Amino acid sequence: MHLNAIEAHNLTKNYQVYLKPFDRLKEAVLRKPCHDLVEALSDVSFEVPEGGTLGIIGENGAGKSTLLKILAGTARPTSGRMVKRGRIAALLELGSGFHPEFSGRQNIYLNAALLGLKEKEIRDREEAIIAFSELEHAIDRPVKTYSSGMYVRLAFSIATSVDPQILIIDEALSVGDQRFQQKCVDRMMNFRKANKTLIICTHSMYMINELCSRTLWLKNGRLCGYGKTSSVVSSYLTYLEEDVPGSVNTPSAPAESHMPDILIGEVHLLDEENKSMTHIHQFQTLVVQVKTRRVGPPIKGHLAVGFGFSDDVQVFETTTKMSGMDPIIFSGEQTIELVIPSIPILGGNYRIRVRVGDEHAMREIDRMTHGPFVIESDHPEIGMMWMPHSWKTP
Amino acid sequence: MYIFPLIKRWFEIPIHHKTLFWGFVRNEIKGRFAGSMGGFLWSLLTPLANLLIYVFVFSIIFKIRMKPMETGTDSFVVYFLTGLLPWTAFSEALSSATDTLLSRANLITKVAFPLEILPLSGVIVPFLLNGLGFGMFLAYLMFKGYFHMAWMWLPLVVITHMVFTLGMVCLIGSLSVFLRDIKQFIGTALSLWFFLTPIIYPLSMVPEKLQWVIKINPMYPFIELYHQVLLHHFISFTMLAYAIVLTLCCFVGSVIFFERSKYAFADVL
Repeated sequence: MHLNAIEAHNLTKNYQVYLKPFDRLKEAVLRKPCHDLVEALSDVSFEVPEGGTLGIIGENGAGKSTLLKILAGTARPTSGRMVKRGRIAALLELGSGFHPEFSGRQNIYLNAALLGLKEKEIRDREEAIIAFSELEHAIDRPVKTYSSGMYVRLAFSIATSVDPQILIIDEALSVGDQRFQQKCVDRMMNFRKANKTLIICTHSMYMINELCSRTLWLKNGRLCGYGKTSSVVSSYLTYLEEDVPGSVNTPSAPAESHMPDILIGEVHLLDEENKSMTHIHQFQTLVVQVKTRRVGPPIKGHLAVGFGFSDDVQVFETTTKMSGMDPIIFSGEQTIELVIPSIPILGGNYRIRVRVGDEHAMREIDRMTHGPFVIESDHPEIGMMWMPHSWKTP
Repeated sequence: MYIFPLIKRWFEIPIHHKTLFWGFVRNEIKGRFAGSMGGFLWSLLTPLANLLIYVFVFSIIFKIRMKPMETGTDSFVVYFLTGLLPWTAFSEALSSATDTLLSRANLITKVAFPLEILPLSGVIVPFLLNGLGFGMFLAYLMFKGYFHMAWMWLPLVVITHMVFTLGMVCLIGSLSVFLRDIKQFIGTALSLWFFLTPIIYPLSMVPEKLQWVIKINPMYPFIELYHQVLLHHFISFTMLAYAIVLTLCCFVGSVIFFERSKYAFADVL
């Protein structure tokens, strides 16, 4: 039988907001309510089985942070009950216990102790923490001399080396360079493999898709969706798109779908020799390899691959339909490749958005954002594309 | 009763969370002298400067004379230091108490750890720093021939004094989360309190009619105990009992208050 690592029953959190500090005193003395009640979280129930992964999504102010604080144990719910099994390490804010005057090494001791480790345990892990953070050269310098990236690396290394049964992470990985981000994701994957419980709160749907089996969507403090990640994320994205007035966005994903008819499994960036790349040179050959999976009878559809800064700003997008091809027949596991012989995009960080649609390329069935990845350019020009050009001067 | 496990918890925390506790203590000490070249020396220089001022004003200008029958010494400096050093530890702990929780708002709202550590380290630090000066003072007293078997009461007096301070720190600390005014108030209150405690003068110099004002002062028994044990070489058990009862009331009351309010800290901060 599987025990639940976390069970939350009807969690509600109210904050009393006092306009003036004097009101608080007035209320205490006169016993007359002088505050506004703000409901940050209301009636939220869910459970995470041992070894499960839960993503928490929602707009700003939806109550995500409040829920995480309750999970981490720094705040108490106004009503409702929570059961936790196992040591919890929470990264609500990276490096919140750091003392700027102390060296990185001394901060390892203090921070790990804050997370509940004993002196001996810390000593055993010290080397591993330093190695993971890649701060060997700077570990004995005061952390006030660290860059924000170094700060984050150290904090993440400490928090994950505590080896908790339950790890709670809040938007922690939005900082740090991409290579380190990848390392963090890998470490969290290992976490999952080791049957540890993981709770992630992020705005990156990519990370949620990648790491979480179930997802919880909060809206105005209430549970708006809870279940399989793919379905919750797609209805959340639909909601976001509908919510933006006058949005000229691509066709939206259907809200009712649970498991997409066609699933985009993995996206890889390869060079002409089929080697995987993270750094791409301008004008190099780029192969975007997409792996798809279709469970059930074969179905016709089209594939779209777009390059962009984010989901909103597209540099270029093409579909198999635009290229005048017949619909692809999806069946089982397949690999589709888009070959770009010479990529004219100027240097910068980009993402690739892969979408699969129906045979008319009207309805979106599944999507995945890959990246960010870096394009390196030797050209100093500004913009998104390098255009062939020449000057004629008087 | 639920009060006993509560109190036990306070004394167990420095042992169970040894690394964290000493980490905080180190933090505090290092933070205090961060960037200053004198560093540790300042914790000796500041009371020394105070000493010089008071000796100049009271011993040289006002010409206060000690009556050895009442004070156990004829030296104003010795009498004054006996009271000043314990008082400084107390007043430093109290004046930084308003910040023990407030300045760590970020930590309290983001990391779950035993909050009791904060007032605990807030008391240990001033006692350690002033303990250094106190140790040197004791050595001086020994050299001058003040040593006596009655000194064996000293550890008990110091511990009672510390627990009393802890109670006050924990009360002031948690109150100031809700009432920020305490921070402004505490400085004034402490300087008043200093002059109402027999540190720069012996109780006998106070007009008899007004002595009750001094005697209701909760710091009075502690300072008197230091005077008695170190200089007078005896201990008044009524005074000791009074100090212990006072300490227990203050500590237990504060601990209950802290326990009740600690879950609200993260909401208010």
